[in-house]
Amino acid sequence: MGKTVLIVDDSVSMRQMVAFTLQGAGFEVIEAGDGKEAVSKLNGGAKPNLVITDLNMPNMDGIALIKAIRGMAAHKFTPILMLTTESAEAKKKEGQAAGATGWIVKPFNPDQMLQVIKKVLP
Amino acid sequence: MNVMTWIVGAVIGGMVAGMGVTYWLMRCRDSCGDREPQVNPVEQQWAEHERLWRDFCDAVSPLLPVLIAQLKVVVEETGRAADGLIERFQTIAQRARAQVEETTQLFGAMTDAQGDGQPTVARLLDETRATMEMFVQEVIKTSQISMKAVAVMEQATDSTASISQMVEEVEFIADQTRLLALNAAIEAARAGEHGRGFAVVADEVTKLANRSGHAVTRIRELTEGVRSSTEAAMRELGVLASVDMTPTLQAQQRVNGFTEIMARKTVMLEENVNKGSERANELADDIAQIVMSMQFQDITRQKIEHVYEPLEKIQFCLERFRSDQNTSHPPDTSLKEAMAFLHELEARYTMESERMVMGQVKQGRQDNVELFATAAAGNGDNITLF
Ligand SMILES: [Mg+2]
Repeated sequence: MGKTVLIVDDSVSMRQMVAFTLQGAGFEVIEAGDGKEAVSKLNGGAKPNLVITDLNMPNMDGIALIKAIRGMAAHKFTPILMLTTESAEAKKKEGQAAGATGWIVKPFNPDQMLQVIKKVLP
Repeated sequence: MNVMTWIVGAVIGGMVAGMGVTYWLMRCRDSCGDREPQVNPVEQQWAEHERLWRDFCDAVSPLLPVLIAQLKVVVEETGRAADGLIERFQTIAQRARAQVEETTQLFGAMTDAQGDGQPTVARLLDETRATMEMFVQEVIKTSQISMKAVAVMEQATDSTASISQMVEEVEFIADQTRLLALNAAIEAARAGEHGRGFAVVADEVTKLANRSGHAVTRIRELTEGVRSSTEAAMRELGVLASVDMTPTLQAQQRVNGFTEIMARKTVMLEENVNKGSERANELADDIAQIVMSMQFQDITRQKIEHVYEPLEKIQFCLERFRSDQNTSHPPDTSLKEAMAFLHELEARYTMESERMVMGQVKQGRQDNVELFATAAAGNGDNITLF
C-alpha cells in the first residue's frame, strides 16, 4: 500500500501542486489549509507517514504545528518537511528547534522533492 | 511587483514621516500663535507647507483604498486563474501519461515485450515466410517425382511394345505348328494302318498349337491392358510433371513482399513507440517545469500581501491624522500600533529577498532595486535537511 503524506498549506494551488507531484509518485495525500485543520485531522485519526507544511499560514503557523505534532505520542518521530518561501537561516534554526526534519524553499522542484522524501521516509 | 512595492513604500513612508512633522508643527503653532501677533516669515512658510500637506492628504486619502482594493483583486484573480490552470494542467498531464502508457502496452502486446508467450509480429512474419517456402519446395518436389514416374512408365510402355512383338512371333510359331500338324495328319491317313500312331501324335501337336494360340491371345489382351493403363497414368502424371510453377513462385514472391512490408512497418512502429517513451520523459520534464512555475501564485500573493497590508496601516494613520488635526487629544494606542507595524514591517516578511531589498533601501541604495530584487528572488539554497 502507498504511503500517506499530509500536506498543510493555506495556498490551494500549492496544495494541488504538491498533491499532483506526490500522487504521480504513488503516494496517498491528505490536505489541510492551516495548522489547526492539520491538528484536528491528526487527532481525528489520520496517520500520515510524512508531513509537509508551509510556514506562514493563518490560525496556526508551521512552527506551532510542528510543536503540536511533536507533542503527539503517535507522531513524535513522523518526519516533517517545511515547504516555505522563507529561506532565512534564523527561521530554519527555529524550525529545526521545533522538530522539523528538513526545509524546502519554494518554488520546489518535483524531482528534488521526491528525492528528499525518499531520504526522510522511514 | 517588488519595484512597485518599494516605490509605493518609500513614497508613503516619507509621506507619513512628513505628516508627523507637520502634525507636530501645527500643534506647536496653535499653542504659540496668540503670543506672536506680527507676521513671521517662518510661520508663513509653515502655513504654506501645511496647506500643501492638507492638499496631499486629501488627494492620497481616497487613493489608498483604491490601490488596496486593486491589489486585493489582483491576488484574488490570479489565485482563481492559477487554480483553474492547475486543474486543466492536471487533466492534460493525466491524459498524456495515460496515452503513453496505452501505446506502450499495446505495442508490448504486439511484440511480447511482457513475455506472456503471445506470438510476436516478427515471429509470425518469419513463420509465414518459412511456411510459404516449405509449400513451394513441396510443389517442386512433387513435380520432380512425377517427371521421374513418367520416365519409368515410358520404359514400361516400350517393354509392352517388345512383348507384343514377341507375342506375334509366338503366334506365328503356333500357326506354323498347327499347319505342320495338319500335314502330318494327312500323311498319317495316307499311310493307313501304319500311320495310326503318328495320327495320334499329330492330333496332340494340333492341341498344343491351339493352346499356344489361346495363351498368345490372352497375353495380347493383358499387354494391351497394361499399355492403356500405363498411358492413362502417364497422362495424369504428365499434368503433374508439367505443372506451371510460375503462379506458385509469384505467390511466394507476393507473400515475401508482404511479410517484408509488415516487418518494415513493425520496425517503424517500434521506433515510434520508442519516440513515444522519449516524449513521455520530455513530458515529465515539462510537468516538472510547470509545477515549478505554477508556484508563482503563492509567492506573488505573499509579496502583494506585504504591499497592501502596510498600505492599509498607512491609510489608517492618514485618516487618523486628518480627523485628529483639529483636536488636541494625544494619539491613542491603535495609531501607535499602526505606526509600529510600519516600523517593523521587515519582521513580517516571509522571504529573504524581501528583507534584502528592504536592507538595500534602508542603506540608501534605491537605484537598481529592481535588478537587486530579481537577483535576490532567484537566490536560495532550497533544500536543507536537519
Ligand atoms: Mg502560506
